[in-house]
Amino acid sequence: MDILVIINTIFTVLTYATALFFLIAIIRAFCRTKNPQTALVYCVIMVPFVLRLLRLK
Amino acid sequence: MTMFQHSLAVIAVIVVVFALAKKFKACTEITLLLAALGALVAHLILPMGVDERSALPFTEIIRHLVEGTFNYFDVCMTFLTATFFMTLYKETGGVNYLVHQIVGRFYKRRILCLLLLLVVMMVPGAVTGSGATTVLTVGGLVGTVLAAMGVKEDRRVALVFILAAMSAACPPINLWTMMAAAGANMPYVGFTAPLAILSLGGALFATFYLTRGTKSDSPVEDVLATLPQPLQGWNAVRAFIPFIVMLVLILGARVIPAYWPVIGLPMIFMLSAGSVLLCAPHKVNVLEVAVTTVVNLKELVGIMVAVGVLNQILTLTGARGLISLGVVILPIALLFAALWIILPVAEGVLQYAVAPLLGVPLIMLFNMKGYNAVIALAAWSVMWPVGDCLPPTAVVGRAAVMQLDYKGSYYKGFLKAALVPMLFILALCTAAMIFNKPLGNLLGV
Repeated sequence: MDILVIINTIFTVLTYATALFFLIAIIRAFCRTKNPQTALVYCVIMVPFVLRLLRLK
Repeated sequence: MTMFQHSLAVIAVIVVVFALAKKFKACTEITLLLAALGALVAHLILPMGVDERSALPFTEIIRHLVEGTFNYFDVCMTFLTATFFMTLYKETGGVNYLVHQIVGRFYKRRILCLLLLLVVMMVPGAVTGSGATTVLTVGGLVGTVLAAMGVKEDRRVALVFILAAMSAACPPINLWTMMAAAGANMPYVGFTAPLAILSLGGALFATFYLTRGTKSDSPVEDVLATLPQPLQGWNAVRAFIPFIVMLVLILGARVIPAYWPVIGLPMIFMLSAGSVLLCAPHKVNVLEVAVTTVVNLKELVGIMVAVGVLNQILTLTGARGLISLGVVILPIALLFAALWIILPVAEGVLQYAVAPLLGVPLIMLFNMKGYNAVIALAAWSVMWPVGDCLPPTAVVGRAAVMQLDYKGSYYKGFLKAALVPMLFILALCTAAMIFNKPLGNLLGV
């Protein structure tokens, strides 16, 4: 396999890892908030992160 | 009911739901989401006239909502990673060190200092095409130096916003031009000179207008004493390595694209953040910095996700096409007179989506009328980012307010201070649009 393809694959995996890292941070922020509106905003923000990690979209 | 009336009714429902949600004190993110859901319900209930389509199945409704949340996902990732990088740099003491160095060396040479700050602000946006990235990476740093120079808080935030907006418009990367030109089958060639003249002209005017009346007459030692003290262990090499890593990763893809991997802006910022961790003499809790980043950006990211959903529903219901059509069928004289207000307002609503939505039909219209479409598109592409401080999204404006920890009124303080430079930029671009032919001949485009 071409070296550039391997590097690109590594970066794709790292991008998924970044999405997971920020999803964990969003979940932590969600758990800490006491404002229901803010909690709802966190839930909405989580949607694309979860779907991206599940590779549904 | 015709399709035209249907789309018009959907727009009316959006306005009503938006107003009701605001009346019940819902936050902007939830308001936008409710407006999108209201529009979807209206689309399902209201008849669609002679263009009646098959009923929208439940799975399709879900698909459109999910697709909407992804419309600006890459932009959200860029916001999060860029802010994470700068928050990490700030938490480890790098920002304090850099501010001390800039103030210590250039405080007495005011004009040189301002021009240096202008360059620092223009580079990230010019390379990435994103004004929010500029604010999130260097906005806080530049704001601190401006504060040390005695620039008032309102003007400081206004200047950071205008410079960020102009950096996004500055070549080589102007996303509005690229998207509109691609949509109109027009090569992205010949835009460098007009974009540079208009964006740098606006940035220079804003810099000297908003810092007028300030004097650097206090002893530099006194000014340094008012700033937070830099932590021990920082030096120039440690301070610059993360930015060098960022610049190499960004420029590598431009200079040697055939031999460079596809990294993407989010990963570039994460790798730069990694270099901060390696260079910083003090360690921090990385996950806590990420949580702080998410908390600080929840409005910005929440709005982008909600606007993505609204944008998707506007497209589904035909309302987006109706808005686009409404603009391009205006008489050409009225367009010349009104684009300076239409484009920034549309940017405030649709963000980058405004370029394919309004830009493409406008290019076709101007080309058909025999105007210089390159100059006209360059002028619109500098006008669009000016609207990044306008509601409902106000992405760059909000980012500037957050980064500089601005406590004043958004409209009566920050926006009022930014108004004159904004009007100057819009007037400059309108003049370029009116004199598109002689300007085109002069620049050879």
